[in-house]
Amino acid sequence: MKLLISSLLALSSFSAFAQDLIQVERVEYKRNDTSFCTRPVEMVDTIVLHHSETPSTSTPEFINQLHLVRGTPADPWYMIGYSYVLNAPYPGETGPRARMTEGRPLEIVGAHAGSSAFVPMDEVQLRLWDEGKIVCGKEGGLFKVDPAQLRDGKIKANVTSIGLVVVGNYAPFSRENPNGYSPSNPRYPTANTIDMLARMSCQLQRKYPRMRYIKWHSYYHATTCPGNIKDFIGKIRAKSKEYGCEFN
Amino acid sequence: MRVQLALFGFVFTLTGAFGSTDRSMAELFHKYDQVMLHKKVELVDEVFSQKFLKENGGKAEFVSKVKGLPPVTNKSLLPVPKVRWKKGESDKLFLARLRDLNPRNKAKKEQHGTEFIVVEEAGKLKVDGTLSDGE
Repeated sequence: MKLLISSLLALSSFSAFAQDLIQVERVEYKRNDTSFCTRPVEMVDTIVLHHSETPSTSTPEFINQLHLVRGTPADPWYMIGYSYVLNAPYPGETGPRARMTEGRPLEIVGAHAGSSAFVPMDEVQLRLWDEGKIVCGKEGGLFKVDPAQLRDGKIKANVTSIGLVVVGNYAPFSRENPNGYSPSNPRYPTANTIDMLARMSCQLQRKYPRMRYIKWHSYYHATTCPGNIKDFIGKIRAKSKEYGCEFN
Repeated sequence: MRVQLALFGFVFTLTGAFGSTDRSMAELFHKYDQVMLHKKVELVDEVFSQKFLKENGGKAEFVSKVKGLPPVTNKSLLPVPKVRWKKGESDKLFLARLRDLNPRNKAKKEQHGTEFIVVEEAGKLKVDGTLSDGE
């Protein structure tokens, strides 16, 4: 009987694993007592790739700790700005352990693409906005529509996207980037990192079919983020196709 | 030497009203620019945390990267770095924003800057890395 139960358990965990393209770990994050915005996940159509600029070994909790300091004293960030955090080793290295961790919940508008980046809305997004489904407020308080999310008929890119960060630094060394790689030894994401990004993107699209774009931080404003990962967006899209997904 | 002393004096005068952390932060980033712009690599241990140096392949490798940086041509941008900082939950963790020498987006001056992770190590502030921008 014991054997039967353990076999059934093993089988069910295997089938759960077979359904998922990637296992996503969860950690506890401290949050600031501050305002944030919520949205239906249907509002999201874009996955934005970032690099953290920190060492590849930085934990999601550490990034959260730093993001809690961001913002103004009157309006600090709610929690980590990214929705997913990928830890993966640099080429030729064995650590850290490759793992994907959940960051800010998808239903909470992220902080990653740049608050001054605005994008046009499609019909679905426009309807959700008009229905007052994107609201802002504080935990336990009144949530209401914030007109500052719109400018000239466009909406903040953070509202229609999620941030997926690769922990590490994929940009060259400079005064502004002392963690960067030596120009004589450029750093690129490994095949496994590309694969994990494609799996994560595809897994999201399977659950939320409206997610159909993969973009990168510097698409929205002038920044060196995500370094050389930007050159691999085409490969990530192509790899996701192998898992049955389609991204532009 | 006299110029250096005058420079430090200027930095301290500028920040004197804002408390000891302001002074320490200004001094740290003055030294930071001495390393990164003027290649005074003898200051590396005073500026960077041991953890940072270890994560970047060790002091020797870091120094070779500094020496490989192109020389500074626009000296009018120097020498006093403008630093804004905030303390983290822990008394030993700070985020400091330093103005970029080559602004990435000239239309948004207020957003120019690199965000540095600063830690307290053996009672002194040290640069521990940077954090990618984003809002």
